[in-house]
Amino acid sequence: MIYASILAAGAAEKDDKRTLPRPYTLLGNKPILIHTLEQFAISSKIDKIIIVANSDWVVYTQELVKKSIPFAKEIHVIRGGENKNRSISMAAKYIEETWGVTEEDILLNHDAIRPFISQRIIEDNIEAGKRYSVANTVMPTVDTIVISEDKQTADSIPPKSRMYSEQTPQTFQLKQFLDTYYSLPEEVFEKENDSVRFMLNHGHEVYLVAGDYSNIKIVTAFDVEVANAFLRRMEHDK
Amino acid sequence: MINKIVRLVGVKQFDVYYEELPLSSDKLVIRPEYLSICAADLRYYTGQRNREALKKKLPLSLIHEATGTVLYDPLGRLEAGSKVVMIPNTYSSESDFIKGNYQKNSCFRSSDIDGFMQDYVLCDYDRVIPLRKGEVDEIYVLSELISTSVNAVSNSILHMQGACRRIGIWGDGNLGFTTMITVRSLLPDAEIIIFGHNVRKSLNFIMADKVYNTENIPSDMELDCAFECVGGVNSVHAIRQSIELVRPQGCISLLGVSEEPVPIDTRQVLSKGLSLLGNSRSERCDFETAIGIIREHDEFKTYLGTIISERKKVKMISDIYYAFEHAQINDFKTIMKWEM
Repeated sequence: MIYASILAAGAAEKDDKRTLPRPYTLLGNKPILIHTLEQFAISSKIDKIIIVANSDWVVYTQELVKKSIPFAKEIHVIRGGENKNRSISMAAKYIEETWGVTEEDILLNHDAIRPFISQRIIEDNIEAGKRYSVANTVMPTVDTIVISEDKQTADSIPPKSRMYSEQTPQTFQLKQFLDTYYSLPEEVFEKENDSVRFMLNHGHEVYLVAGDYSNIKIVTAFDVEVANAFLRRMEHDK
Repeated sequence: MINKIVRLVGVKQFDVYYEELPLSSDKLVIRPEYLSICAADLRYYTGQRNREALKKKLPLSLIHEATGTVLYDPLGRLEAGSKVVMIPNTYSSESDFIKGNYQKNSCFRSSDIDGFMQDYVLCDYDRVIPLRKGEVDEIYVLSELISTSVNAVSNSILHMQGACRRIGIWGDGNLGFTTMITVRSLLPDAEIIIFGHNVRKSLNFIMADKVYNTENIPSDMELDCAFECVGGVNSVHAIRQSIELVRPQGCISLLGVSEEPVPIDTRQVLSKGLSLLGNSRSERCDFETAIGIIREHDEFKTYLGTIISERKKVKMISDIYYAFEHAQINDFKTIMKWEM
């Protein structure tokens, strides 16, 4: 079974409280979350979808999905955790409790606020998930990365050719993920906010899937403007 | 939902556009799968269309020969995952006298409206032809090309009231090839003669009865009808030769597109009472016949595979450039597997 979890819980905390949380902000004519969800819901390769929402927004999300998605796809909305790692583990445990987990099960985890995800990236993650216990969507960094411990002076500047920016989906073979999660004390997991790093640090090889520079994360008001400009561009050009 | 569209914005220059695709209550959502590059696409890509046409039409998504996978049918007529051939023309009015592809309001993909280089395509139900379960769909990407041959051959048969025993085809490219297959299928007893100029490409026309170089045509040659599948500046010679070789009251079907007006020896056309038929775009009935030719004849289906010169998986824009550059030098078709 191929599952997708759409992670919509974390971003709600980061946003300006005067506006809707970012996943529910309009992009064009629809909330960002719905644009993202549609890309997974229309894929014939994804069997079930779990939306991980902020606890206050679970009912809202359920209603929104009911009104917006016409595709006959099983979509569940669950309460998320305080960070992405926690939300992914909650989605994984929800799947285990609801349907059980087999060696073949794969979970793609995608930020709700990356609506420009393409079918190519989804399909490459599924293929990678069949062969590797962990796959991470990345792109070569555009900017050079500077590492600083004290936040004032540079400790090192690694060669850009070895640096990648992390996007999503992050993909896991579910059984491997849950076995690793259950084999360690809870506090080990608590210290991590990135599930891929958690798996990497505990002995799993992480395969890199090519993302796309257009697979942007819409976090700030500026990002919303940029994303809307993508969609508006057509009206200007045609 | 957000749709990613790859458009040609200038000569040899593609760009990605994002557009909200409004789901409708009756249109199918289809993900393109196999896309075949046509000479018309290359004329846009290489800037051979005149400047005014380029200015008017670009930015434009190219490709009008495609198969796809149904992702969503709001009325449940086709299952998700069904494979289809997509028909590139649409029209909104009906006429008893004019076929849909020649209606004034007819729109053609990759010319009047965006072609198939997109994540998703919205299609009316009558603009797709479902393939059967288990059919390998790569070869069906040639359906559109074959359908144009079907349109031309059917019109010629109709016009000649079946009196087409010896048929000449000018052109040793893709269209000449599919026209040969179509004639062989619709007129199994006809004698087919190919007139080409490229020895290497002409070797592929093994199903023809004879292949002649256009420089060495026997002087006593006489044909019932001819198909000009050359296009461009060389169509001048092909049309001149066909006027000379077709018997009185025979017909010549013109399929090749030329950017410039082509001179025609009207004195000879008039003295022989020849009919010149313009045959380019095809309609649903021609697609159905074309798909039947592939589906019902294993030998044609296998033989058609010989004109796929190159297959290219397309995941990035750079793969599209690769495919279009190679399409210019490949002898026959360049097919893209769309995985953007």
